[in-house]
Amino acid sequence: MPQARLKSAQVRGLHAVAPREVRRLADEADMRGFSSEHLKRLHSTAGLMERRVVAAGTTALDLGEAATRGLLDALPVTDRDIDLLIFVTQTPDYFQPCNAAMLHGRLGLANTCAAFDVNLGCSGYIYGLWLAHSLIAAGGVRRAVLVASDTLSRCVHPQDNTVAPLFGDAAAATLIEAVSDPPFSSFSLYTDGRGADSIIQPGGAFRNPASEEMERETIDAEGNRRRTRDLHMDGGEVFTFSITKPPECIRALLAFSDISLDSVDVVVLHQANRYILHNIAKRLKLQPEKVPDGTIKRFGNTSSTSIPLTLTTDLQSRLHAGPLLAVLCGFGSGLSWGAALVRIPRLVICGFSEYPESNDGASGRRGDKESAEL
Amino acid sequence: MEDFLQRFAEATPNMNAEDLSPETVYRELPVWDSLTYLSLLAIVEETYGVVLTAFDLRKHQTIRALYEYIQTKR
Repeated sequence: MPQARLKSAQVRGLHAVAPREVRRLADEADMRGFSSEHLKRLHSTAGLMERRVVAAGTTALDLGEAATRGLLDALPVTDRDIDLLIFVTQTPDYFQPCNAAMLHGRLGLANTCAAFDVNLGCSGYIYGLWLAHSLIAAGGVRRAVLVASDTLSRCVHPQDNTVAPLFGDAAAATLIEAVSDPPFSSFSLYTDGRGADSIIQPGGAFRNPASEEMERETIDAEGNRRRTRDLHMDGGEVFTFSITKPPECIRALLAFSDISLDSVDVVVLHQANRYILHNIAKRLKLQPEKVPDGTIKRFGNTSSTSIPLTLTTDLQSRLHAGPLLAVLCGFGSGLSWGAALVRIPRLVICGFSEYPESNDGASGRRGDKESAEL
Repeated sequence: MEDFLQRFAEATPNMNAEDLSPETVYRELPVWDSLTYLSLLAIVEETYGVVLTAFDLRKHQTIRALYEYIQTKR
């Protein structure tokens, strides 16, 4: 079983980016045929209020670049040599080359850098952290940047009410560094490929290449429109998966780490929707204040970015004051899930900005400004 | 059963237990949408400790059949 307890590295900085454009669900109610009653239920149960979406032509690579620049610009120049660049995305610019290599080029990093993509969705941040810690433990890598970025708004049919109101776009970059006397970090990873069909974007790659057939639109009983190539989610299957596997996996991780849930400061779950977060929290008998849920209503479900986005927004002031012993748990397409127990030290660099930055350059870089003042 | 009708009504946006009967074919209710469906999964889990799957909901027709199935899983 891939459970690992590593004493190799530590998270040293975070920067998240979300597109400037806000889509409010209330503004879309007429277009989506939502009654005020239905809208209220979506607010109160799923927690959906607004999300950020990229402009046409903006990709996960663009957001990921902005997030990585936000992180690296905040570092002393002497600390900007990166040995490892991992890009977690399911919405890359090209089939090949990978986004990590594209980003490496855009940033003008040295050739002495390993760079690759990880094709995972909502579990991707946990896998990325595990890889970074493992590769640092294996030797040769001292400083790793983990980028998580997706533009799921570009994968859904805008008139598919089962997914379009849910998914937002965002990116985050995390610096993971070898430090002297690092704390233990532990990881627990799982897969169930039998559930591959329950969150799937079936068209456009090599099994079902782009074709007229992939563009054919169907309308379901509830009036949702969907092309074969669009992201499809079986809400019921995913819901059942999301409320059963994450609590099991967190319990297993804590048992393996020999730590009780009481001694953990915060449990940051993938921000799937409010319903799922509260249900997992209840199953683990966690006090609600230990389980941040603020990014759902502001950003929607942002795939692999949701955990670091929550760290840089909901938990920004607590990380500036730090340290925090955190359980992180991601779960999603694959089906793939995992959890990490990490001790995050007080972070000077824990910022959030918007993309593109505003013309005056001030309001978009709140996080950086705050961190620079610390 | 009364209790289950009450719980079922809670999953809908605006129905009362009196609007439902054990013989109601739930998938034909006008309020049967994805949100009602997820609300029902959550309420059943919360009340009876049974995690229904999407398949379970497709397999059964009436509220009674679903209730009896939940009883076998408790």
